[in-house]
Amino acid sequence: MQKILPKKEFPEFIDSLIKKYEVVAPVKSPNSKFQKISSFDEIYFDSITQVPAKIQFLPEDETLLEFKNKKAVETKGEIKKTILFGLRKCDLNAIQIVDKVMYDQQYLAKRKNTVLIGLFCENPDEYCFCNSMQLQDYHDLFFYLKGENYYIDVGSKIGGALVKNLSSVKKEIKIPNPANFKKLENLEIGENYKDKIWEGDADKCLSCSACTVYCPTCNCFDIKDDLDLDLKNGERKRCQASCQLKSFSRVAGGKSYRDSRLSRFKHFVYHKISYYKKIYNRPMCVGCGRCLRVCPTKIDWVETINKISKS
Amino acid sequence: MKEKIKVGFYGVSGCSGCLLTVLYEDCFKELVKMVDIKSFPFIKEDSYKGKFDYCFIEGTVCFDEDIVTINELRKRSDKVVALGSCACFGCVPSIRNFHNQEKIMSFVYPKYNHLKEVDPTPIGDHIKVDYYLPQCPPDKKEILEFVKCILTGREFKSYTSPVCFECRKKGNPCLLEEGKICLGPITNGGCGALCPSNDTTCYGCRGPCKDANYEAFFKMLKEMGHTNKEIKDKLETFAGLAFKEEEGESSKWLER
Repeated sequence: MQKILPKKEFPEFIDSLIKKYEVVAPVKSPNSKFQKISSFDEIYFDSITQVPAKIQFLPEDETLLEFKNKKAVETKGEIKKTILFGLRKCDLNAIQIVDKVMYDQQYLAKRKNTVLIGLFCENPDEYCFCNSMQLQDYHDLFFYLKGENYYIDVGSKIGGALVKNLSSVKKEIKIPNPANFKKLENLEIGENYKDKIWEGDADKCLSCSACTVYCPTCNCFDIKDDLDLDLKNGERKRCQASCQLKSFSRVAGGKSYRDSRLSRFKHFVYHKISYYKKIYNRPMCVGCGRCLRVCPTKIDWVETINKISKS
Repeated sequence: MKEKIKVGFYGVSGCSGCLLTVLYEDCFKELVKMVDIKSFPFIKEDSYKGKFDYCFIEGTVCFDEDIVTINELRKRSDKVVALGSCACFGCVPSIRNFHNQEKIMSFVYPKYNHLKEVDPTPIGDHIKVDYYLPQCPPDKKEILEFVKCILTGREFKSYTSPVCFECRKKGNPCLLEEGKICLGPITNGGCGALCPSNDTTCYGCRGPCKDANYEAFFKMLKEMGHTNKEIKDKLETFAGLAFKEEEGESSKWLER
């Protein structure tokens, strides 16, 4: 089902949502990221956000358990009905991918109370390659501006309820894919794990972890216990982890299974392209290009894969 | 009730900023609840002559009397904790190592100098140090966390990931991208990316990250248009000695 909304009524529509729900949308501050907004004017439309939307569902240092008098109690925070607006197709697919792997109560509660509203990506840049990544439709509502009207694709009942007062489109239009300047030419790289070409990228890698922190599908985490002195009370917290750091694969006794920078770097690429696909039948990468955009030494693993497939 | 552990807070050559950090209300109030502070010459005359379970030492060894002081403290203490970047890496006083020392001394003391100076070095070069709490000044939370760990018998883990990890998690804009020399990728984190979060580049005060890729980092800075001198100056500011050591024999960056 598709609904239609005149462009000039769009700000009014968003403001009406803000009155009823907590609306989180892209904001420029100074890095663009998803934040709670209080009016339409705060929304940043010019590009995809630099910081991904995953922090809405996996916030840093989130309390998972509380220890009260030696007993563990699962934390049940207050979760408000939230609307996540302005997600590009890559952001939406990233949420779909993480949904398949995260099962804990805190995550599920937040997901259940969040409405996903997508927005057609008008400004892909030279790092975007989403069309190579087999993206699917995964939204409650999806806004596409054509001419003077927004065409709204309704993806779920919850989404439909938000736009029930708008008039339906008689003849539905096909929402195109965003334009892309970059392409990932090969998803079958399993054979090329030992290829020497990866060494060039790994030599440039600073192991700063920016790629994994800004990747919308990286969901690995670490658990920290914050205990009181009496060891009876305390909290168990979840924080982001990164496979690009040596400490990530360290086990008891101090041994680290991915000691070399090369193996860590390859693990990132192979997890995104190959490993996830073996289980869920689609690559984990959504082609948003954030890892390429934020890399201080501008490592371009997409280009590396393209080179492999050419040779 | 079990007897509280006996601790002492001492300083050798330094700005006393680390000791001052301990005195902040939110830190000191908690600390006195947990430990028995036997001596703290910075705030109260020191008459205690007994032993310490843990002795926190701040500052760099700059004069020969500092060596005597820390050796005496080492004998009286079960465990020694290096508090702050001076005690851990030499920090600002150690910049002298990279310059003509005579020139500096005659500039600072033009007429008369009764001090017997030695090469500024971290206390770990002279005595055995059991724990390191770097940062300039050290993090109050980390000091408390450390004390909590020793009291509850848990292992104190020092942070081993680079500053970038915490900085990126905070969603800060990258200062390297703005063309500044930020030592985030080669510096140990744990500070919560304090400086980059306040729009100031990282000076490496928590010391070198064990897994840093110096070659790629320096290459990147040079490609950004920074000169060797600019990079050296930055590296030398807070943990120059440690960075030099970490780079090892191949170091061409910190030599003048």
